[in-house]
Amino acid sequence: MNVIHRNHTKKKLFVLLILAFGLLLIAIFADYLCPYDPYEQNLNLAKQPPSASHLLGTDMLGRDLLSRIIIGSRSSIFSVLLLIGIVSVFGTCFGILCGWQGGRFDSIAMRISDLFLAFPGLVFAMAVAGVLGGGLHNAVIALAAISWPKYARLARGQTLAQRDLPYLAAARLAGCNHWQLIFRHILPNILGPVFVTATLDIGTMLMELAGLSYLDLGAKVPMAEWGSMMSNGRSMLQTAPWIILGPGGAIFISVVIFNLLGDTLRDYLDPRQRGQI
Amino acid sequence: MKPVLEVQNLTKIFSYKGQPDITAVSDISFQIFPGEWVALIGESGSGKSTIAKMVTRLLAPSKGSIFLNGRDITHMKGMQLKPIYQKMQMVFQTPAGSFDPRRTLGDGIGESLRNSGMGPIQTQERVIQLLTQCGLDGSFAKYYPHEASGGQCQRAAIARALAIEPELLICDEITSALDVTVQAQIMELLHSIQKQTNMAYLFISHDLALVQQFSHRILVLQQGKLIEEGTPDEIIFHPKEAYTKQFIESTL
Ligand SMILES: Nc1ncnc2c1ncn2[C@@H]1O[C@H](COP(=O)(O)OP(=O)(O)OP(=O)(O)O)[C@@H](O)[C@H]1O
Ligand SMILES: [Mg+2]
Repeated sequence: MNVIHRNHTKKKLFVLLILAFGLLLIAIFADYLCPYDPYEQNLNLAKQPPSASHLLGTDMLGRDLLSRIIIGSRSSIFSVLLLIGIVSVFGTCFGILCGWQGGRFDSIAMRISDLFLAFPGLVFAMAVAGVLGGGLHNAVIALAAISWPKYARLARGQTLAQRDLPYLAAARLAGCNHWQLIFRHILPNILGPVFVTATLDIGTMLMELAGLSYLDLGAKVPMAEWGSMMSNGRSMLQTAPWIILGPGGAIFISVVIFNLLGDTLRDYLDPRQRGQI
Repeated sequence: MKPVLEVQNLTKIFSYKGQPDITAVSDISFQIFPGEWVALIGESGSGKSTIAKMVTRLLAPSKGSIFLNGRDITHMKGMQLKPIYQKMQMVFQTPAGSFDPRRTLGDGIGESLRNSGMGPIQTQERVIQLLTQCGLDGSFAKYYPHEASGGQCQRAAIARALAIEPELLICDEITSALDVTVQAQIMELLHSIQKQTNMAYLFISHDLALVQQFSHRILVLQQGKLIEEGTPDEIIFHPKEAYTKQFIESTL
């Protein structure tokens, strides 16, 4: 790859990072950004189409949709970030241990993760969320259950690839113990792909969390969450489409931003481009 | 004089389920004395790297024993080996590949020093001193492996091996990735280091021409067996084995 391409990637990454950061800021400062109280009902104002006073209209209980979408970014984005954070750290540690340890521990652990991967993801998550009884927390737990094996497999494969490289033998000869080998050498060398996967996963998980909420297995009313907002509006798609289009658009935009960020990050970290910074 | 390294009846058999066993190294014994340069030569697949890995305990032997300064290290594990690695170091075949791609050369050279408790400032000074000793500018400490040439990386790898002043240096085909002029420079460097430090070398190569000038003794390996041993003159001018003759004709 040439330098021009690399500069282009760099610029794209910069813009996407700003956009993603913007989403985060909205979620953090949601309380101050809402033009109206997102939970205040006013049946006189029910199902108002977008107007100057209610930019995205109101829902069937007369709540301002823009405010609900802004406050909903908090439950949606924060839960997903928390979810990805826990799952990627746990899965990666688990995978590194398997790859490093090898032998029987590795075989057993990998069969367990196969077990989780054997079910179609969202169906399994629905089953788990169903058993746990809905609610945002349980939806997050359900999604965590289906998503950790991906990180474990990735980290294990990467660790196996690194384990027998000469630089690790050299580090052993320099007197490093197992933890030093893992944390000083293996982890930094496999973090790139894990990071890319995690970023791409933000988009996927945003959708799956919204999906669970849409199916009433996630956030409970009256909590503002994009998926459940869409679910509540689904009967009014003909008469008041803005109720479903608003949160739908919010999901779409966030998913696109995080997916593009993941793709660009992958291009940026591609080892074939290294040395041309 | 006591040998630095003594290897007795060393054997390595690789066995995998459902496959015939591979005897990579079979019943090998030899000694290396302080200040001695011993070359181990043999064609590709003859088991040279396997011997190096067993001696450095990166690989467990199937049979036999390894003594370093008279101490049996054959069954040592994990952190028991840390003091052993202060007496024995190795330089690898792949110049850049033996350094962590995400860390600088200086970081790699100083690693053994830091692991044995040296402070950061002293380590940094010592790294620069080592680089200079190996014919590199001190600024190479800040280079990443991919930013240095093969020859420069190999000099840095030698600097790393010298850092904790070992008594035995194992070199596994350290010049085979380098061009001929750089090969000669590296050999000269090793030669001058040996004169200064009296370090013993186990120098592995498939190139007889390369080792004849500097080595004191040559071991010839064929399919995992040690078939002949002697001074360079004995091996080259009066080889006893037919295989050795053949090998000499093909490489010289
Ligand atoms: N981990 C392993 N598993 C199975 N067989 C192995 C393994 N490592 C080495 N061997 C086999 O042992 C034999 C000796 O290999 P080794 O790498 O020691 O040869 P070498 O003399 O260093 O060759 P080269 O000059 O190509 O480096 C070869 O037949 C090889 O296929
Ligand atoms: Mg070899």
